[in-house]
Amino acid sequence: MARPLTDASDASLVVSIGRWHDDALAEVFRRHAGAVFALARRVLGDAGRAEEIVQEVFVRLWNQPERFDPERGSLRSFLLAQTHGRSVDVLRSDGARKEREARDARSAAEAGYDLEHEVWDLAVADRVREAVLTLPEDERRAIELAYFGGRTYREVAALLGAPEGTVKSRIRSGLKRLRASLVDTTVGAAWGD
Amino acid sequence: MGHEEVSELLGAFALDAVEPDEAVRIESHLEACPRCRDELRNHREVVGLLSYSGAEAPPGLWDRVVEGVRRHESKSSIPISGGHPVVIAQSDPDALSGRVARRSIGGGRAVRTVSLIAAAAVVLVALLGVQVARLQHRIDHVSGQVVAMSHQPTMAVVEAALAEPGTRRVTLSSFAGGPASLDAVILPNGSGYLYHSDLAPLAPTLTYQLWGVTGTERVSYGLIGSSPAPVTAFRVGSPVQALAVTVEVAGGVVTTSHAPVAAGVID
Repeated sequence: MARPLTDASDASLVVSIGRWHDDALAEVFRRHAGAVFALARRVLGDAGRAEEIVQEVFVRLWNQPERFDPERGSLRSFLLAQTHGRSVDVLRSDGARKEREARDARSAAEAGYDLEHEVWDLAVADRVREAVLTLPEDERRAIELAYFGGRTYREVAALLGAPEGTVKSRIRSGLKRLRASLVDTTVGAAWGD
Repeated sequence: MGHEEVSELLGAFALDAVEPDEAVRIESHLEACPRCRDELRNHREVVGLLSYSGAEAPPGLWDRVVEGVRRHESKSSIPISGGHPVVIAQSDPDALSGRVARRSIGGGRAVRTVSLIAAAAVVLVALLGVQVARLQHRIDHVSGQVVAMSHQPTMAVVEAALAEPGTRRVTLSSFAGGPASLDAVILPNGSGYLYHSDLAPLAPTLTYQLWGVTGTERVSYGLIGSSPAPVTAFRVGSPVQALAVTVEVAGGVVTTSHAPVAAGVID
């Protein structure tokens, strides 16, 4: 008896998409579209534009599944990297950033958000939030401006009035610190730390 | 761009925060540098978690994806041998219809798109057929290699495992300070291998022991010995979030109270 798709690994779903099993695409959508949409909306600040990006990312997966290389990371990180790249392209290529900044300014008083508020709901997200809180403020700010603000490290450096080399280092060390912190919280939980 | 220069930019690159010309040079370096590829993979897994909200996609979005597939198909013409579009296989339109209906996304509009989407699937089969066949060949080849060599794990087994889709990689690094690191790979079938260990040799009265961590549960995956071999096989029986290594008395323990010397979260 065939294993249900809901039990299939992401990699095997991509192989199935390569064989034109459209139900595999639907299962990938069920698993990851929420995260993909959340990222695009966060970067673009616009649900309509975010939906366009999600559509584009999944249509591309359907047409070019071979672009996913499991040796380079998980399917989710692949989809999110595609989503982020396209969202940033949109942000940098037209007036989307100005529109977003105008919206952000209007809504800031009632619904300010930051890195911590982007991760919630699941146990793993709790651990991520915990890890984010361990970051030094300057590292967290550099990552936030670059990743969610769609800015280059040079733009971040100009915004923060910091040397470019310093911003590069903050981003890299912040990501490494996050990962190490995730190890600590995940493994530490099992040891009762 | 040299290795050091690229590695300094990898964090920004993972965030799409480098200039276009830098991105081209980094991509070029990545092709030849497994160390940088590994670091980038780690960065991307972490930033992928940052944006995770746990929320589902809005209703109607699946319909848009279906429409996007249809629209792409209507523009496509796939030349095969003589340059004529060829239909390779017939798709089952009811399958897609049922799936869309189950999702309750789009209602009647979704049903109207079904035949067009089925047609899209029919034609596009040709485009990826060769690539999928090649991928399948690789999977079969790698799986065969892994089975044949599993009795005497070597780096060749690890490399074959690393090439298999669905394989998860883990870097275990020092958990409590001090030099201790090793890598692990876990195949979709639950077979795993530890390698690249730099764990210091222990007295013969002690042994390294490997643990799988899920939530607050720890399950022993076996003993690695006092002086770990270049490659050590282990087996994962159920979903696991992290791996950890402890130092125990020779013969190992059923439950441990020792803090791990190395640990890593599974991607």
